[in-house]
Amino acid sequence: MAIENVIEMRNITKRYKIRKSRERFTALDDVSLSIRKGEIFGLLGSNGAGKTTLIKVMSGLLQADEGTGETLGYDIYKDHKKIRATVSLVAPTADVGTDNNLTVRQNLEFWAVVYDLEREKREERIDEMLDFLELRQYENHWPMSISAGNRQKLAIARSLLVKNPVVFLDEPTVKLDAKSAAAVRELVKKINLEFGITVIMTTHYIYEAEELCERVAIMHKGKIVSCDTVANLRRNLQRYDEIVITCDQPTTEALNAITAIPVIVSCEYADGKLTVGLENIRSNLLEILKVLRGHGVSITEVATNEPTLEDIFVDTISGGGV
Amino acid sequence: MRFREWDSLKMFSKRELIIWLSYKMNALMWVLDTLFTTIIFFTLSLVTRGSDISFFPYGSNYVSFVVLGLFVHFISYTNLGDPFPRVSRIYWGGTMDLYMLSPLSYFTPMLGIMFRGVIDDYPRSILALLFGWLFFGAVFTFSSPFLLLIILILILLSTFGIGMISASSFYLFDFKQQVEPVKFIFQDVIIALTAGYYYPITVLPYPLQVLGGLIPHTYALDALRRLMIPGGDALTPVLPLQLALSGLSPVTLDILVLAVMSAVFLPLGWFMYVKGIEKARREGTLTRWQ
Repeated sequence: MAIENVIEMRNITKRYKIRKSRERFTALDDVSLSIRKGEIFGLLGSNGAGKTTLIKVMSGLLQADEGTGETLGYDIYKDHKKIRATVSLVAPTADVGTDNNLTVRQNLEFWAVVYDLEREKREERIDEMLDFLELRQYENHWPMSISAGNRQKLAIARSLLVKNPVVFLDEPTVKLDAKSAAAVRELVKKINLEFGITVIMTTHYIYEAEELCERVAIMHKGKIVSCDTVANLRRNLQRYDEIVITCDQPTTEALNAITAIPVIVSCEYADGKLTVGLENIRSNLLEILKVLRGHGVSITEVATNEPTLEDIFVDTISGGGV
Repeated sequence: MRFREWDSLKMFSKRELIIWLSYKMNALMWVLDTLFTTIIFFTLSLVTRGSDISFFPYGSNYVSFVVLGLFVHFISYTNLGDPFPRVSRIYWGGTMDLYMLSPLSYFTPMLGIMFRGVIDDYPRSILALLFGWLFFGAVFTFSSPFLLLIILILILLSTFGIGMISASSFYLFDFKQQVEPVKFIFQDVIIALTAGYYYPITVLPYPLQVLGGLIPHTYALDALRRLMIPGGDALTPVLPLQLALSGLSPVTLDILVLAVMSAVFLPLGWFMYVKGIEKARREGTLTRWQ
């Protein structure tokens, strides 16, 4: 069965006017991208990489200068109003759209009307969101009196009031402490799993993308420099995984047997540790250990060293291997 | 207007009312401010009492004359002066994107947030009339309620039309961090000088009277004062346009001009606002974060 894409962007370019100048700043440069229904997709990049601009183009909030694209099957130029009415967005700061003069519940009541939720379903949906996001105990609190993490949950609750199939989260954990950020990440997983919503999130936290996203696009200076699953990005990186095995001195035959495995690129024993460089640690670790044991090598400890998404990110934006 | 927009407007109004009521001290200050403004003009009326200063064709009661000026001033303050800062609030608050991601029309958020001004200023206009009538000797006649209603509707619409033109300049001409010129020129220059809130514009030099002919306030005040102040003369033309078209009765001409201004300013403001939003969507300036 063909994979259904909720978003298709082809060769999108967007240039912003520079104030008091005739020159233009290229925020998106020939960006092409497909996002599948039901996935959590990450846009990873440093400040100014073009993540938010891309989100705005995909959500119909910004008109691209060049390129073509569809969101939920709607053309980004002709049907931008329809796109805007069928996607949700959580802005980078929770306070955007949150009125501190209204209680948590009143805030949700306000947005339920703005989002044109059916009158009979409003209260029920608000209750559902308060429970789902564990905000029930704060429903009559002022937003300023609850934690930043809970305010972010309120912003997410607002975006989920209408069951739109696509939610854009623009840096959802920025400015949150570690505990609140972890709670929001859990929430993102839950939204995706329980409601089947496609989540497209921007972040410059690599560990966040690694934890949440099935696929990641790495953006740099308005371009997508790499887009794949985290596993594939790792695989394609011209930096090899490493295993450090604390063991007895292996025999020459044992070392030769290891080097004969096709994925092995280096093998060196020093100071009681055997360091093996290889292409894919996960598929080949057991085989290496089997070879060593087969040659009577006594193993006391195994440590692995895989490249993280951060390694890939740094490598990619510095023009390296992927 | 579809129910969706109407429901949203009611919800915006409810929110603005909650916010307004949360500042209880403000409400007291607001009543006192209106009272003191009326007192100032009552005191000023004492200066004119017994003198041969004429307010012709608007009767001879200065308090009546001036509280009608205040009435129109408060309405204009909201309808003309409010749309720009409300759009500005939506932009700087970062919520324009969120409103755009809803099924609402472009206008509903601005109209909804304007309700704060409506709560603030519309009752003031009534209070000014009430204070003038109850405490300071203002006298009014309501012999032509239908005409008064038409004039009231037309001054609301025409000033709001100018307000919309002013609001549209936020996005259309990118006046985000400076004085907005439409509002400045109308409210702070032409209206302040020639609207005739506090004096009949017939005392102004002729070029300023002509300038006053460009704003709806002049015609609304002329008609209201002729119709509502006892002793007002409904037949003698005094405004430059009335003198030029003396075949029409002054009040009829006032109403016609107000109708034309409403018919021009309102659609123009509407059109410019939509164009401004579309321009901002092209340029990525709907909200302050990009």
